Amino acid sequence: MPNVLMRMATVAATICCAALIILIFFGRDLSQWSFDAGELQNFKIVFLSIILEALPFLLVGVFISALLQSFVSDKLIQKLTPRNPIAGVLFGSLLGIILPLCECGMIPIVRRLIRKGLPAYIGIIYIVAGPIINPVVFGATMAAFRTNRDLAYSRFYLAFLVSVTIGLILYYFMKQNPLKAERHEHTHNHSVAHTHDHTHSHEHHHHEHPPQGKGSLIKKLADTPAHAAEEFFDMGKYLILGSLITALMQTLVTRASFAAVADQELMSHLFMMGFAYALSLCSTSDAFVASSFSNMFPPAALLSFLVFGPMLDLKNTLMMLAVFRKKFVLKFSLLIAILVLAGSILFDHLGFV
Amino acid sequence: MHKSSAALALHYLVRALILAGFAFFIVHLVRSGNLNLYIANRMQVIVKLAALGLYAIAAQQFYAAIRTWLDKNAHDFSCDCNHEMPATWGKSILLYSWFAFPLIIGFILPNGPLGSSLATAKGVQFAPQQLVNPSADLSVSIHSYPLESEQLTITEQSSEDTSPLIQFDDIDIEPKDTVEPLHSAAALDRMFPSDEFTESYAHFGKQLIKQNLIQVTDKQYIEALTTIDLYRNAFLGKTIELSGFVYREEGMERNRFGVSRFAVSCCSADASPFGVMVKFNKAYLLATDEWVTVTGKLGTTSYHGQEIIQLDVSKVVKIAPPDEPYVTPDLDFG
Repeated sequence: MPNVLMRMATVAATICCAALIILIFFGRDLSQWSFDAGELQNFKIVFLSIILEALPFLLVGVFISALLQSFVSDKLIQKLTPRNPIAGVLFGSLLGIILPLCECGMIPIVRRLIRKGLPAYIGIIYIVAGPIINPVVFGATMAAFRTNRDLAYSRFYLAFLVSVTIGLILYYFMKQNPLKAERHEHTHNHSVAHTHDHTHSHEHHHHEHPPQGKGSLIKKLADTPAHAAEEFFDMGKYLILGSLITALMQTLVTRASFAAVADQELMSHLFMMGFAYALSLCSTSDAFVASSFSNMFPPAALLSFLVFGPMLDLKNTLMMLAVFRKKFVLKFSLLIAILVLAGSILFDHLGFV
Repeated sequence: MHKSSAALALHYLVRALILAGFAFFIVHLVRSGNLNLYIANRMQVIVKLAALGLYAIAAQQFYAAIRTWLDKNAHDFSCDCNHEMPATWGKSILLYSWFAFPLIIGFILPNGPLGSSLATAKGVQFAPQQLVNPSADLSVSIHSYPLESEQLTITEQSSEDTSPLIQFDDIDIEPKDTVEPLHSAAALDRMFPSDEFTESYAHFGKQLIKQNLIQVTDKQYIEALTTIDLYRNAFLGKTIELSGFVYREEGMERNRFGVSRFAVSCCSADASPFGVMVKFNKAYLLATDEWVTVTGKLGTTSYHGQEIIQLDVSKVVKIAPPDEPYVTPDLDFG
């Protein structure tokens, strides 16, 4: 159990370091970080608005995940999964068209699907591609970039290319299960609980708790909110942490300090990616935010923002750390960053944006 | 490792309370009308639905708490899916207070619309035409429009000007009493040149220019400001009315302030401030973040080396913050 605390401590330390780097970068010292009443109110509104906005998506995610747990057998998942890696990669990238969710909803579903036997690489591509390649985001991006359709289309092409590449790389190079080894730890705990249960409710336990999918429909339905509650408390803590940091950054860091980096090509890309990461916007609204930057940054940098943000941001990194191994999350994040950066620079030089 | 059923019941109870707390918070915001401060109108439905979902889960957890408490042999309500209850009291308290934290902030801190300090952090967009026309060169030295009324003559647009870019330099402002003949289709087309990106703005501009008093509505706030800014020469001298909060930043002159609104497309986290610079001699009478409706004539001014539109305000009315403090991009526009 202390290792959970350790894990939280590592995350907290990472965040503190990141915050310090930001402080140094923007040349502000802590004495200026006093909240006045107006700022406190703004902070409250932004902090809670992210949670409120994410709640419905998180709930849909945990409900679907709970339904999958109760009603879909492992066998069915394994039967439906494409065997061919190319088909699998395409399936993962385009799954968002059928299942348009934002990333807070996706992570619990993907974890469930992987546990049920979906190849990890397909699930992970869905996490990466799903928040962009879906009809809701398409509509929002088109509305926000009414005047720059090239940029809007490029967002989807680049997102597709990046996720297909990631999928293939994962397929060929990922040997280990990326999920945290919770299952083992759990079975251990559970068996202890079992022995304990046995002492006073021997026969009861056994038919009330079938190993997989044999209970009545009503029992399964009644179980769904229980699964949902567990998932909610599992994922919710990371959502709250992500929203908290995002809200602090939004209220305290001024945009004017960005202007200096906008002129250099590489810096402008890196900056917009870092910015997308820190903001943790939902992919349905980030296009509007990006368009408000169109006078400060070149379109290619906005493309980086639009593709990188939904694939990887602070909020979803924290949620991924709850599900995947730390090392995997790190490598995976670097891979996304490099691919998006290279991709949008390439798009820029080919004249797509 | 062993958990007594009383402790388990307590877990379920606390979870039920937290879930119900979130649901109740949403209902509370809807009732008080404050949900508008957090979530854009078109997204509110799903947030309300989320409250229902939260209630459902809370009810189940509450039921589980009672069953676990009363019936020691009740079946295990935790699902068989690799979740665990926190192992120690300390960790439980930590987890549940973490979830209670946003609720406490939500109920205790005062509600109010986003204001100037966030607008400063995000940077107010005073030249919204850059959304449509990012390459627009607004540096003051290149364009400068004298505003004296003596110069109100109508000149033909020079025939060699065939550049597809929007150029307004050759169009001058018409005196008010000759407005009628000027609004012929041809004259309007000349005043509102457009390409495929600005077509809808040109169309909107042609409607706006016919009004004696141009009221910037909440529904098309961004679109109206963008149109006026984009075709500023056509609108110079027109009377415009709009509402917003008083925005000030360091280095602003004493008789100036911004009338600003946040544009929010999903939730307040994506808010970006738009505004119009206002010149008003009694500006010192207005507090920052106060809500006002201003009426004034359109002119231009210089702001951080850019030429932006400015209202020379003759009338200011203090108003209560509107029920819907933010504006949304109008998706049906154009």
